[in-house]
Amino acid sequence: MLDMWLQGFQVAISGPNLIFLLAGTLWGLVVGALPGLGPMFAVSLAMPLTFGMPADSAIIMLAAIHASCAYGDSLASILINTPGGVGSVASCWDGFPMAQQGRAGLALGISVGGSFAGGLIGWLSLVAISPFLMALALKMGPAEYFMIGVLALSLLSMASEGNAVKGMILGGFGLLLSYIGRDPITAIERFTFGSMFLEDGLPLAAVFVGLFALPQVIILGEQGGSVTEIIEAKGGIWRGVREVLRYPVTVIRAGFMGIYMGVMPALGISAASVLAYLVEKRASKDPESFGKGNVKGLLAPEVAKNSCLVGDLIPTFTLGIPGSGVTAIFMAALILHGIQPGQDFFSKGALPYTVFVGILLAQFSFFVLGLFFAGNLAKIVRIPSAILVPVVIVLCCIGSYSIRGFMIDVTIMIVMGIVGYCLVKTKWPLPCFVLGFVLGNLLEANFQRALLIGRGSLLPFVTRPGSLIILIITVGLFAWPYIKPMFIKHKKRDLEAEKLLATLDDDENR
Amino acid sequence: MITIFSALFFNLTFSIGRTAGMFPRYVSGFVLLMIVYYLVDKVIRAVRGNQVKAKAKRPAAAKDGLSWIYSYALLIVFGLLIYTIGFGISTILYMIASPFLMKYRNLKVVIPVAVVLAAVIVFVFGKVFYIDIPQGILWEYFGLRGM
Repeated sequence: MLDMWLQGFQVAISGPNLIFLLAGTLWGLVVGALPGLGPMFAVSLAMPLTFGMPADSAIIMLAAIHASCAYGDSLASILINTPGGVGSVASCWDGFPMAQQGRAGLALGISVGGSFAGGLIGWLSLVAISPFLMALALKMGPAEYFMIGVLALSLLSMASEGNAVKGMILGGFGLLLSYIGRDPITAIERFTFGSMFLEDGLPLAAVFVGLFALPQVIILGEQGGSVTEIIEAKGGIWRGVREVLRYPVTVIRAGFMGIYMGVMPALGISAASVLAYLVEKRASKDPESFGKGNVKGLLAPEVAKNSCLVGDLIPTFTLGIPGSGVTAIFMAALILHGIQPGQDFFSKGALPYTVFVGILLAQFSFFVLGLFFAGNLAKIVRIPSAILVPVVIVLCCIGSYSIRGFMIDVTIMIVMGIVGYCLVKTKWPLPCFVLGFVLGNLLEANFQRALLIGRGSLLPFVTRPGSLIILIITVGLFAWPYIKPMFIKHKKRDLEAEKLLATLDDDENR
Repeated sequence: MITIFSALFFNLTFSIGRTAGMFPRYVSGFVLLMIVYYLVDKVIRAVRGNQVKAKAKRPAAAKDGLSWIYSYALLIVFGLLIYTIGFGISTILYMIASPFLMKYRNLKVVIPVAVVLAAVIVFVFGKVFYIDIPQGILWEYFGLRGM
């Protein structure tokens, strides 16, 4: 295994891969600094552009975008009190007050140091847990894979608090759209309406760019203008990084919370950062200082956010089950490069090790660039929307076109853009659609295989222990809200926690 | 829209063979059931008068913003232009029209950005990634090479 790691390291630090790493980091930082545009936008827009690259270069670049964008989101949160993305809502609460108190540099340093620490913790977990999950995955059959897919979809639907039914409807709709093309078992054409362009299914890049990138930029266009007031960060960034080292308990606690949120399907960076903030506040000796520029109030969500990002990749790479909407796009990128996540990914020689090293290097690259350029990068918010919006739309069009060279893909992108805009504005949970779309073929193929094994019977789903356990968990999770009142006395709820968590719904649905 | 698609898919599953149609039939049936449940629930809540939220008036686009309808209409026109006159020229035209509609009229910024962006994309995608940029059917009709 050591020689695989060395081989992976050698490939990851090759000239072209380092250039892609740097380009991805810069792209992620720039997009992250723009308010309202987060990792989902950055990764979905870049995905079609990586089509011509080797698989390892593409994944390294996307990993760099993923990590740096999540950190870049914090720049807008700290300097202009506007979350750069869904994962940076909690960073506003203590980050902006720190900036207002003249400690903007310190806040940026804590943000970059905390994000780096979180990314490292997430990476260590990815490397440590993946072999065990892979060993477990090898014991899993089609019935178990099918049940895990159903569990992931169910969890994501239920996590859309109050919108569970909408989540299930959208998840099912995503599944249906994934069936356009050919049946995975018999290769019979279906739902193509006679169009040869749909024989291979809906193009992944066009769908994701249309669903995620286009609505966000259209909304940006509706808002118009640009940010004129921005707090300057003058020095103190290094001091902020040193501050991170003074709170190891906070770092470790938030780090593990982020990993847990990442590994669990449906819980994303917004949940991780907000809950890390709440836990840190409860554990603090002076909780009243939170919201007024407390260092831990900024550090905890930053660590949790980045450890969750990397933790999200664990089920994606090992089981082929995306942990969140962003990793669903990651998984789509892997599929675009002919790699099926799961056993197939780990059987590609040194590729997984190259990717792991690339993810580690991505943490270092955004850390270094963030240290030196954070204050300057934040000025990107001054670009007028009137210039930014058409630039991004042009990139969306060329990105969608570039995969297959068909104008129909641009048409599909526009149609999905209208659909995505309507869903975002009516607060339907878009990540459920993404997960359904990405998991569609996996679910159906494993369902059919399990049926073949059971000779047409559904018994394998309940007679195989693994499948039965997952089925019980899924049913239990659905039934729990109705069973809970019978067993547990109603406790006085923490209204503050509810209010804070309620903001997740609005942000996650963006 | 989801209801229409789901019903359409459900109907089509009966004509594509047992294996190919089975799972999509279950899924589309499930989606239709969920839609019915959702609609019935909404009606019951409306009848009971429970938690009837006043529909928030959708905020209009900012004065220097562009309504989503115009944005998408412009995007459709852009797509048609790409198809007819090629990517390069249509990008320049789009990059001038869009800021103009958003009341940003600083041509000293708009025109250079438009030209540079079009040139960079044509170069990067055409010469670096070796991707065929749409030339436009109009040029092909006249036997010319577009941009």
